[in-house]
Amino acid sequence: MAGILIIKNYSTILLRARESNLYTTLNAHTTNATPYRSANGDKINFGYNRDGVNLILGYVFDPFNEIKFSFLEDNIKNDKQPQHTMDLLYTRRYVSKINYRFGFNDLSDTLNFDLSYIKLDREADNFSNRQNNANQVKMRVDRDIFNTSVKYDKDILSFHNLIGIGYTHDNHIAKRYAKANNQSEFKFNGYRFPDIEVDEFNLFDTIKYSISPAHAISIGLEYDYNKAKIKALNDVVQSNGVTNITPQIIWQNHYGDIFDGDINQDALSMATRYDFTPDDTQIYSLSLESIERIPSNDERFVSLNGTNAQGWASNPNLNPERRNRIKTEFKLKNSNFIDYMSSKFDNDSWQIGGHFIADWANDFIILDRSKSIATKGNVISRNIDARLYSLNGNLSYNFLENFGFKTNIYYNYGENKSDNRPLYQIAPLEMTLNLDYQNYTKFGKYSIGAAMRAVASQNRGDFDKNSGLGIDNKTGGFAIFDLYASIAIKGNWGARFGVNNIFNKKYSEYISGSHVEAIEPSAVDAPDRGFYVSFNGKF
Amino acid sequence: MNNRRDFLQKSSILALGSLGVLSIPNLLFGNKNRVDIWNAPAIISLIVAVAIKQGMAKDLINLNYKEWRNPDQLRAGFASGSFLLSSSPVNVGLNLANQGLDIKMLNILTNGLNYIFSKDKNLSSLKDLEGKKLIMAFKNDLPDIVFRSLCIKNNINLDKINITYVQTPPEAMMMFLKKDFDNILISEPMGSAMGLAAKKNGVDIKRALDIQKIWADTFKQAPIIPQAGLIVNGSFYQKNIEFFNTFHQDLKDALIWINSSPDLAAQFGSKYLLVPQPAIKEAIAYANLRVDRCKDISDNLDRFFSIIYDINPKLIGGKMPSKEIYL
Repeated sequence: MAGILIIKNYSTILLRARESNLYTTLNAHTTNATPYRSANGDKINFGYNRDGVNLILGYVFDPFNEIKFSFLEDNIKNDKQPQHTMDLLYTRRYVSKINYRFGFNDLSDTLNFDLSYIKLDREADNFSNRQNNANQVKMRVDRDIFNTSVKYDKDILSFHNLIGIGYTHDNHIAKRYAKANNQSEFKFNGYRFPDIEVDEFNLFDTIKYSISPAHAISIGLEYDYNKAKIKALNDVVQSNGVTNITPQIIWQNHYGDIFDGDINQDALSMATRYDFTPDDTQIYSLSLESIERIPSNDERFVSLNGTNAQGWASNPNLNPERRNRIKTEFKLKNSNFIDYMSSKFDNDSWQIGGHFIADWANDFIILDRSKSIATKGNVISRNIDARLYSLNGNLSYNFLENFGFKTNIYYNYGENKSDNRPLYQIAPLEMTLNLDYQNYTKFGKYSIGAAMRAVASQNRGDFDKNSGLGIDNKTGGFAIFDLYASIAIKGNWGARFGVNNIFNKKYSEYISGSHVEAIEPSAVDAPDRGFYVSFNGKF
Repeated sequence: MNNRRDFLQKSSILALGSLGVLSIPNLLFGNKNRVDIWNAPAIISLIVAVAIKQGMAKDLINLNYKEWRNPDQLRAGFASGSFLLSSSPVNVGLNLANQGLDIKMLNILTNGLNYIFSKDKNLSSLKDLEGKKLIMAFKNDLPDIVFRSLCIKNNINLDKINITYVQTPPEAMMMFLKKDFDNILISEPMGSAMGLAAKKNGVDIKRALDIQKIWADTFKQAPIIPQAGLIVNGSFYQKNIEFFNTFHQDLKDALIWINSSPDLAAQFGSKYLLVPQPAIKEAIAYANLRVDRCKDISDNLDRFFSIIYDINPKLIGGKMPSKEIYL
């Protein structure tokens, strides 16, 4: 079977084949995203070129032996990011993974062996894809991650036990280069990641006990041992008169510690979960978790020297973060409900669901601004205590054979309890609504639908560099409406078309997204009213 | 007080208004007499479902799709009078009529959908089943009857085939894939669903024997297996002949749509047949779907029933059908 899908600036081809023992999936895609205009007519310098391939190749020797190889290549070029001070010139990712299964496919007595390798190359700068009359800066990132794990699943009476061990080796280096207007060549002047080598070992075990078909209890434990080495600890990144600046000195200036470049940390996590499924139409769960997380490279190894609050030195000696969480979820549905717009025998049906999470975080890791005189305003990382809450509710309703309605509401709240101020980048209240109609006809099938997304204004956040990181921007609330339709002819050919933001609403998103230099994002207006059409075929 | 009275009045108006809004669907879509069409959990129900959805007959009588779980429920439904129209294996419909119930055979929706899948790559004839293990569901149901008829006619020693019967096709499928059964007799769409499950589990099986083809080669005077179709309460049919003429055309149009749009038909069918879409699509190609009025193929039906009758008259209620049963 094969298919092709082309949307305005997006093309993809998919090939799939499955025989008794051999199966494969091959997907290739290209995207060309271009600048756009916002609702008030401003041109937004956004865009990128992206191409890639995904390959899955599997061979099932017999019911007990299966090997699967996956490969992914992803290339992004000229990724213009108007919300940040730098653009990504290119990002290349290669992911290779081999999985070998020995034992039953249903994991009743099964050994799984995984081996993966990720290669990342990235370069960003602040001049190639934008007007820039100031100093030019560029960043070059290389990262190699090797991971392997062995997991063993075993059913014993009413128990299912999963035990495993894993090892990850991560080599991460990122260098910054700068050139003033009056200079002819770039000079190396800082490490975002000063040649970090991380070795992490994991040991984990999860036991699930099915008390009865309706009741199940799970208990999980994980122990992580993380050994990090900063290989470029004493490399000179800049000379300041007679003083040579090294990552060691940058961290010493910010945190006062001198260390040998080796950091060993461990983390112990525990979780338990109770599932109550009285029948096929009801699912309830309650989880109690205490998850300890070792800080990421971003959170502890950035060492960029800078003046006038332009430096960034995350703390290598951060404590692991512990999240003590209660999570409860539920899903109730009518016995006719299969999925949204799909009911058994086309009867009316509904489903409701939701979750609530309360999170008491100790040593929660945040970025902040240095308050000391020597490094004032520079970005640092630190441990705080925090409270986070998350609430979600959703409803789907299929009615009158052809109609569907669904809505989803999200609310999140985050508070830095150490400083009594809001956490940054906590999404505002958001609600989505969809109303759809679909029908099967003599020629095939067609559908039309409308969507609304309403987002509350955000006046609660980390807006001020003097009191916090100052990463957030106040954004107004908005509601946008989309219309869309599709037609399928005899199942092999089809088209989709629609209008996004039909009332040409001017708005911007609150969440900025992560980025190599995403500490001072600015609010960027979203696209204006847009029309689109796409075609697809299967042969 | 006035405020309170106003409030009550406005509340009443709002409540009535809300009820009015709720009743809009009824106003728009009417409230015709409703008839339940009872369907088998089998691929032929796809034709009926599409006809109900896309056809014209629903404008004459409000049609409602229902599913029976097993032939016992089907028999009890007609016996009690709660079933007026239902899909049915042909032997069950004839049995009910021969028991004195006012049951007529309206049409045939498949000319056979039974296959033998095998783990043995060399299996090429019924004779090769001797000495092997075979599993199937529904003892004495039509696939079993057809299989036994073929074996008897082809001088296959049934005693040499180690046959295991189970309660349901999914049970047969799981036992065949997981245990040491060599062969399975199974109907569509479960056969196609099993093929997909086998690939996922690395079990090498093949669709080895086409029961329909063997039947045609064996019984040249009655080369078709009119396996199942719709049966109807006789007096209900007489009162609604216009509806049934329209519905017959709807079923024919539905079959054309299914054959020309197998992907969409599989997508649509996944709401009615709870098997994966790829299995439904594959099953369409192997299900020999038809829409034939029984009166138009009565000679073939008679020849088929005479074969069954010769083996065991009890399987069709002890006597051959009269022509009046075919509508």
